[in-house]
Amino acid sequence: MANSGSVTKSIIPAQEQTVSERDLDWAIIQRVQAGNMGAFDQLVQKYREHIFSVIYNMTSNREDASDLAQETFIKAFQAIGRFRGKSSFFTWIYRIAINHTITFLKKRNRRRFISYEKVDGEMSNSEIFERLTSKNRSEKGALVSELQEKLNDSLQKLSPKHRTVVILHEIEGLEHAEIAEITKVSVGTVRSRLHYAKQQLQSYLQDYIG
Amino acid sequence: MADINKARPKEVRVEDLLRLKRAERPDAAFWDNFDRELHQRMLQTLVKKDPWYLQLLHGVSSRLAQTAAVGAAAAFLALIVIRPVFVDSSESISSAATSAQQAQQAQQAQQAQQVQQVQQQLATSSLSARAIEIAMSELDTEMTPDYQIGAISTVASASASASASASASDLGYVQDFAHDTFEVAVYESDAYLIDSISFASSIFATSLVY
Repeated sequence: MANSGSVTKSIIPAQEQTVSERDLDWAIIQRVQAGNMGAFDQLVQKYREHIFSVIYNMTSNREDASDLAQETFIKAFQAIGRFRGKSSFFTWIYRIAINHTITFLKKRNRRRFISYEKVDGEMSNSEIFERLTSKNRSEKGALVSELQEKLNDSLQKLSPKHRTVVILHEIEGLEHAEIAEITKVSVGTVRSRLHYAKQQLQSYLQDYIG
Repeated sequence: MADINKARPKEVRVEDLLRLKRAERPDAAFWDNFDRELHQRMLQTLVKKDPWYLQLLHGVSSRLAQTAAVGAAAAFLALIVIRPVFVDSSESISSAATSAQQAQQAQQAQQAQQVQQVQQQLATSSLSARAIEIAMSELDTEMTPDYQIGAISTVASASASASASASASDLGYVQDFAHDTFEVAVYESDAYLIDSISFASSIFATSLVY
């Protein structure tokens, strides 16, 4: 799943987090808790891209995202002995990643260092991008760079709470209930934040919308 | 209808733009480096020793540490109880001797002061015989400087003992004390000797009553 080629397949939809998926993770965790440290690698391989993606979109800096993702896995590894399986590992590690990233962002304060990730070639071939190209009548390469910068800049204008909800829902594809569980707020709060964040983004990205 | 929809391009929404963010993905080389760094950091975490406060926290929380704490408390109490055994006996003896000597010196000084006070009182001759006797009885014989023990013959008809016999007869007691001699302390002045003898006999008679 993590190494799949298409963009959409690389995301774990909420529906895929079935009971069997959760049981599979729990079985791996039990092996790690029993002392099999190598089993933790399976969890890293499974979730590293999603964790990195969330953190990267939160920070807009690939180096910071790499460090924070590694630290997230180290934190999870250190605390996995206390993991009792009350929530899914997926929810648990997302929560660690988001909390760690928000703490990092607070420490970083207003200083922003942008370091964008390379855009996948499939983006320029997507249907949406074709529409944008025809609408703006600009060259594809330039539009890709422009849009990437504009999108990241718009996300950074949101507060960390609103940014988190937007990233988890619109980019990671998580359900409201799952976001509520990760962020430990009600589903209503998640919806409210999502609505507000979208309104904000709409105003920032109005040149591309419509 | 279908032709109309096909001719009219779909509008670009915020959600569509955000999904383009999924295309910002690192390449395979990034993940190789990520895995290598993560393994190194995890190994460092395993080898790295926790700070003392974390070790203390973990130690306190464990049952083993609780048992050790109870044992340490018991050992501490035992040490307090058995401690006098380990104290050097010679030190205690010497310290006891020193304190006793100091106490004796203080006592001697106090007694000397009392003697001096009695001497002053005698010199003024304003004290009665009873007061003199009481003051003399308070003096320690060991510390009395130059007392002379003298034998004084007593005569029952002496005027000095008249008051004593009278008081005894009033109480209905037979005056059967016929002490030939009284040993009294003779101090420097002989003037008060007779009075003191009569007073002593009266006191003796009183003590017989009781």
